[in-house]
Amino acid sequence: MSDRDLSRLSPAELMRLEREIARKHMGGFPYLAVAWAFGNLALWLSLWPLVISGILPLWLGFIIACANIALCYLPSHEAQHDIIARPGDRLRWLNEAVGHLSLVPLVLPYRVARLTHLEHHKHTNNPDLDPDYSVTAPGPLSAIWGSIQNRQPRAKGGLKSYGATLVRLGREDVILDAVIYDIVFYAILFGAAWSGYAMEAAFLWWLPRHFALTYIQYYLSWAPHHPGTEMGRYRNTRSFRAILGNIGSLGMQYHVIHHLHPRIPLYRHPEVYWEMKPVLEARGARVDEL
Amino acid sequence: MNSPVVRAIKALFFIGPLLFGVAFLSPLVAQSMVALAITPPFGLEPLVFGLIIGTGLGVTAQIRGRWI
Repeated sequence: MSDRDLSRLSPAELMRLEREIARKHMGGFPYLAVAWAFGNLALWLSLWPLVISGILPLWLGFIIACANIALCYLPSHEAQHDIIARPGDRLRWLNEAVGHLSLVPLVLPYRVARLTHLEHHKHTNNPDLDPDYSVTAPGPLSAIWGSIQNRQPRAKGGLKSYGATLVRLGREDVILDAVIYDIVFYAILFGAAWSGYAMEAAFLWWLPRHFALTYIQYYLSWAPHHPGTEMGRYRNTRSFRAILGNIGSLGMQYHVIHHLHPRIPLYRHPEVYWEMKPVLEARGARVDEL
Repeated sequence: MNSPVVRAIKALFFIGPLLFGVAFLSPLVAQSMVALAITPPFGLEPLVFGLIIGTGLGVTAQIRGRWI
């Protein structure tokens, strides 16, 4: 497939080509996402007894917990798009279990994540309707600072803007999930702190969660949509070269593939991207950085 | 959506920064000082010192609406 060949194709023909490539990479059981979800959660849970019993030093537990919590969103993200199993499938329960359980360390309810994320797909970069629009920032440092500021008590952006989205969708019932998660999270922190485990609670959960939220919002929300000014199907997301590479950026270098075809598993994005790139270029997608 | 339970939860979240300062930062400061072998000033107990710092930070965040 060459650029020259594609330039002669009509939009309908380009779409057919794009769909043919995408279809090849959909389906199959995503073992990686399932193993990742439960392995990551098990590792994070095991840090608590290991650190409390003195087997693992707290500083090392802190580093591992930062990685654990930064990694916990993506398996749920696969579940949000029904990649593990679709409604009515035999393994649907597993899709939902991954969705719910993998997000526990992040203290983000699955139903909140799913509903708001699907709205992000529908309205990417729309200042009024995209729940993730508040992460928009002119540069990397301001994106990181903005993420931290969005978690201050009286802030309105970031995760705090999800409530408004749920109200707009008429799903106030799901806000209760977030309230319960928050109450349980802080009750555990306070209980641990007054039982003599304040440092463990701070360095295995509270601080790693803040680190992870910043990391996730930077690489999943800010970087792939930057500068967040365009809303077309081929323009609202981009490919980009991350300093930390594709793994370090949580697989987001090829995020454009995810927005075009959300049911393709994350680990296949690089392969799909390189196969589809001529089509994307012919479509005017923002794929010039990679 | 305005039952006594909802009002109580809203009140709880409203005083969140203060609560966090007292209930989490205070013991965190106290236990960190003990772990790092830092002696609190004026002969205070670590927990008393932690309560002063934690409550102070909580009140400040409550008034300012931000921690940093």
